[in-house]
Amino acid sequence: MVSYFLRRLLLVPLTFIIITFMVYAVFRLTPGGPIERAEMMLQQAQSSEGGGGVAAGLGEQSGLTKEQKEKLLKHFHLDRSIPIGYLIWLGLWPDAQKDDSFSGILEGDFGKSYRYNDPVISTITSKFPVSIYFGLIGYLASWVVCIPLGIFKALKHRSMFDTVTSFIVFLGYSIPGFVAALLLLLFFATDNFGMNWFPLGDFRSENWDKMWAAGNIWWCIKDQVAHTIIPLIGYMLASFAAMTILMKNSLLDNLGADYVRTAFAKGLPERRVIFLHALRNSLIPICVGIGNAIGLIFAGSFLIEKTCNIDGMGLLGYTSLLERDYPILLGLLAFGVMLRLVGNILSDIILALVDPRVRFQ
Amino acid sequence: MLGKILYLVIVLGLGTFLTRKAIPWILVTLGRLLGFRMKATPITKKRLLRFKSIKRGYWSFLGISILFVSSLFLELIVNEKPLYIRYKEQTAYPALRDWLSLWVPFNSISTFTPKNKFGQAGKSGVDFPFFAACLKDPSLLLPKIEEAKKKLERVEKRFKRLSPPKESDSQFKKDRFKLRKKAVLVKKRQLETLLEAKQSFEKGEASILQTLYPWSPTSFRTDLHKNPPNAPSLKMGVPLGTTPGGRDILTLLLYGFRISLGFAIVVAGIGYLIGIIVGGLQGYYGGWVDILSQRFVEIWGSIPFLFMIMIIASMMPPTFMILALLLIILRSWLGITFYIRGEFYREKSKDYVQAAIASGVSDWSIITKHILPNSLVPVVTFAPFGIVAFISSLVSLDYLGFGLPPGTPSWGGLIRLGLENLKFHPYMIIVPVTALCATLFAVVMVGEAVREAFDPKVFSRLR
Amino acid sequence: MDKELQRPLLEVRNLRTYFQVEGQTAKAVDGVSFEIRENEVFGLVGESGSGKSVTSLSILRLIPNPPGDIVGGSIHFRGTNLLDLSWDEMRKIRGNRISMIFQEPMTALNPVFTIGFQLVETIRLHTGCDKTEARVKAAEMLSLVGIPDATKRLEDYPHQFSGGMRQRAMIAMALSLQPNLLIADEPTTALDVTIQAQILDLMVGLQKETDGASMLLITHDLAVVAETCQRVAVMYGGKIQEISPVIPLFEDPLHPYTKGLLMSLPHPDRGKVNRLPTIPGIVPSILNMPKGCKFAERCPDRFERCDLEEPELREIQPGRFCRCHLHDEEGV
Ligand SMILES: Nc1ncnc2c1ncn2[C@@H]1O[C@H](COP(=O)(O)OP(=O)(O)OP(=O)(O)O)[C@@H](O)[C@H]1O
Ligand code: SF4
Ligand SMILES: [Mg+2]
Repeated sequence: MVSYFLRRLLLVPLTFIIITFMVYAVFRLTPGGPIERAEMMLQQAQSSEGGGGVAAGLGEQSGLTKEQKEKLLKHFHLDRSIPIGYLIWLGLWPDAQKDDSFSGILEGDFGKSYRYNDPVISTITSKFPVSIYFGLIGYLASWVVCIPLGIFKALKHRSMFDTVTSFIVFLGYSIPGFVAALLLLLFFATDNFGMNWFPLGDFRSENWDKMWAAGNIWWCIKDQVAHTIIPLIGYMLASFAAMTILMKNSLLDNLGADYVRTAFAKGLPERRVIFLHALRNSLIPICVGIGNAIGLIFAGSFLIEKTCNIDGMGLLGYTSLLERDYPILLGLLAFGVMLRLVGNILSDIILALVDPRVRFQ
Repeated sequence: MLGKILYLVIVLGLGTFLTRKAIPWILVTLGRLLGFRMKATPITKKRLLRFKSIKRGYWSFLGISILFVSSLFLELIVNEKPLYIRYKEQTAYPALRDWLSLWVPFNSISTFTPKNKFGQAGKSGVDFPFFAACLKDPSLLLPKIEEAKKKLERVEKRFKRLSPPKESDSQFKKDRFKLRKKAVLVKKRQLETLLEAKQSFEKGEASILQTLYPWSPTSFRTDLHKNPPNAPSLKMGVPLGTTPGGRDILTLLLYGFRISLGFAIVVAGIGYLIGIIVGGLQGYYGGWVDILSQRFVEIWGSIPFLFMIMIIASMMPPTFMILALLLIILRSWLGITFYIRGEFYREKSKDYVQAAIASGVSDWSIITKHILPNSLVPVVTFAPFGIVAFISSLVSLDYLGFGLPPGTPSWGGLIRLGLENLKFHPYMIIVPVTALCATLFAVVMVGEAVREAFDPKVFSRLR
Repeated sequence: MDKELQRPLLEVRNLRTYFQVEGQTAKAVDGVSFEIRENEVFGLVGESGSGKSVTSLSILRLIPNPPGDIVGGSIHFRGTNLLDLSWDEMRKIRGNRISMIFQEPMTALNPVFTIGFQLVETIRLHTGCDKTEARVKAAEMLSLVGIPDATKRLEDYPHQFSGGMRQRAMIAMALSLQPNLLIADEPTTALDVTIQAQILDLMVGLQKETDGASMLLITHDLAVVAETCQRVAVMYGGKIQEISPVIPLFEDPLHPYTKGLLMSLPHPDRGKVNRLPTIPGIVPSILNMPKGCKFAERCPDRFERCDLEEPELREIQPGRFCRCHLHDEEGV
């Protein structure tokens, strides 16, 4: 089993290399992509000194400033062939100019953000707290709601309650989270319907830090909660339907299992049969989902954070896209991939922990 | 009014016919030609019956597919350009041209109808709404005629100030004289056109057959005499209002429906086809191919695909097909491979397939005749949920501004407008969101019914 | 023969358990009646799919619903009709009074709890002793059914046991409850031939010690029936075709089906058979049973009337019942 996980872990760098290579190649090969345009500009600048006008025109089209382009060129080592450029970019090619402020992504250096001129890593990690705050609370909240709801629905299978909640669950499934957040904002954060109870966005109010310093803790908590609820529902909605249905079906499956029959035949009380024997088994798939949720938290945040204007990783990604801040984008992408891979492995580990039958080869 | 209702009934009736009879027939014939055994087995028949018996799913399915099939003719139903227009000897079928130019591959059908041939002054396309309005009330032309008269007077005055240039005058003077003369002629012709038009309209020498809702996603609602945005109002003839730019939201919504669903169907269809092939190869041949490609699928699946698409889109604004292609390559083929692989694996080990292999039947006919028909259950049960996912993906991309090119009618774009106008124009968000949620909900209902019909679960309990 | 005068421990009357399959009704058990007396080992034999397991599950009311349901009849255990009891009252009967060894040993144990946990849980539930005592008892029971190193094996999960070991663990679990009635549904199918007899002896022996001490033994193995049972019921197509004390059944079978079973049995001198011997033809589909005698299609003695009406289960000789028109005509 240990060797299985070691092998899985070995897969991580391999995956990382494949994916970053792909990204690098995409960046260099996309027709009309920033790099091709930058290359053209470079050539034109070399061939004719007066060609600046044309190059500037191209630059406008791709939305890059001259400065950005120069950085791009440097960052991606466009003077080299793709594989070598890639190796330099990784930090594995020996003859790369060491004066470069950039030592290769394998050493954890993704370069510097064009906009902030800060290292990519620290820019990304500075957004962690917000994303983790919502991701964690959202996930916990969906556990707190979905598991009891799923259990109850399973026990009351085909009852009125089950039908009605199923309808709600499917409705929730068909509304994308950010749309739900938008609707909630519309209803409860504007004056349109006379129910302006929540703020229209942001992680917290602007003067939050001041109030905190002033010791106005109660106000701070209230403010934070008010800013949390609507985005949180948006974050949760995607997993809400899936998890409720998973919980329900999983428990129903197990309630019909042979070992439940055995437990009843032994004369165990119904409560023990359901809540110990059946539930313990039916929680296995739910627990395994934890690993995948880690990756999803990252993916889902884009839309919600833009909608609610929350300054987390998603919004960072969005603004970086708008500003063509490629080092940040690459950093986020690599980070997203890593999260998912680690999430997959985490799922396997959890599965091995909660299910004694599982022995990975 | 009656005519319009009749038209709508005919369109929907045609859509129903196509959905229920023509398209299934085409698919079955196509399948036969490809060598598939297109006869429903008793199990399939039973499943289809069961699906029909689940009313909400079945009706959602009919509703969505009829709407979608009808929406393929949207150019003939909701279009600023009329089905038929006549002005003196000139006739044209602009809506039909629009429709044909969309659906006939590799065509060079012009969708342009020049103004000057239809009693309007200028060189651009005919202003059909104005044409229709004038037809009803030719006096609408009066202000235009007045204006033209004034303009003519002005250019004439300017022309008269010049004396004809002599041979010895500079080129500049000659040119100026020519230009002013030409201007007079043009303005004169315009005035004549307008006067002629007024006469023709009064005499009934012109006619127009407009579509059901004579506005296009590209047209501006100039008829409302109010600065956009306009709130929804049936009386004004804008049932769902206009955007801040003055476009009609109803038309955007309808064309957006076609694009969203069409996109999802293309992405799901092609993606599943690839998924079936890959999964089938994995399951049928097994071995190293299987192991390696499974690893590959796992790695590929860990790419945050929406983010990736956005990055690519930020470098190269995508078209409909490129966007579809990206989503197919990055995502839609992945999910199904796992299931198809398993089904192939299982089916292959069954006796009847082994017997067929032993008796030397070719791999292709074993796969198409025996294995594939039995392996398609996961595809069928996955498809609706896939479509939900891909509609959401497109909406998300458009919402963030990294989707279809600007100007394309898209639900995501509408929702973004809604966000921008959240405070003062709530209808702008309620309308597209309602349409989106209703569509997705209907598809989810279909999916639930399909799952129930194709893969029914009886949950036993001890009681 | 004064035992026969005793009031039966379990009395099943006209039991009917139906399953809804694909919109049709499958009459898995259709009007089954028999009784089990105190201190008796009662055998139930029949081909696969004849409804033996469903009958035994019906007694404990463990029929999965949907698709199944007990639609009629009565099951009296020491005078109380089990079908009238509430779920909670039924719980007190289960395990304590009637316990069961299931046919499928592979899935009958909870995969996420250790064997020890499941045994201890059972023992504590019925004896009320503390954990350590229960563990000692559990280990004792395990070694009794022939699992070596029992104390250590308590820590194992079911998947670490072989099929035979799991079945033995199930047997240990059922026996540790000391029920009045033990229902054993093919308890030895997963076991080696060598150990089968040993386990059966153990079961019968332990059962004798308890009060009531009866056993419903479902099996394919006619030799086992001959060795251990006092009376036997032969099932076919969801109905009991013949009930008889074991010796007359083997010497002079009344029902053509029973005859077929015995005929295809190798001669006793030639040793045991493991599975029920085969009779030409196949069991009719449970969804469309013939209208008349269920066995008609395969019966060598079939005549006109057999296809038209179903025979009744009649007492042909004292204590011997048979469902066949042949005996009806003889007018016994
Ligand atoms: N859960 C169920 N759903 C549907 N039909 C069932 C179910 N359980 C049993 N049956 C049907 O009831 C009939 C009797 O089954 P049963 O298990 O009692 O047979 P059996 O005599 O125990 O056979 P075997 O010797 O193979 O154990 C079978 O035809 C079976 O198909
Ligand atoms: S009733 Fe007829 S068919 Fe049935 S067992 Fe007797 S003789 Fe055979
Ligand atoms: Mg059985």
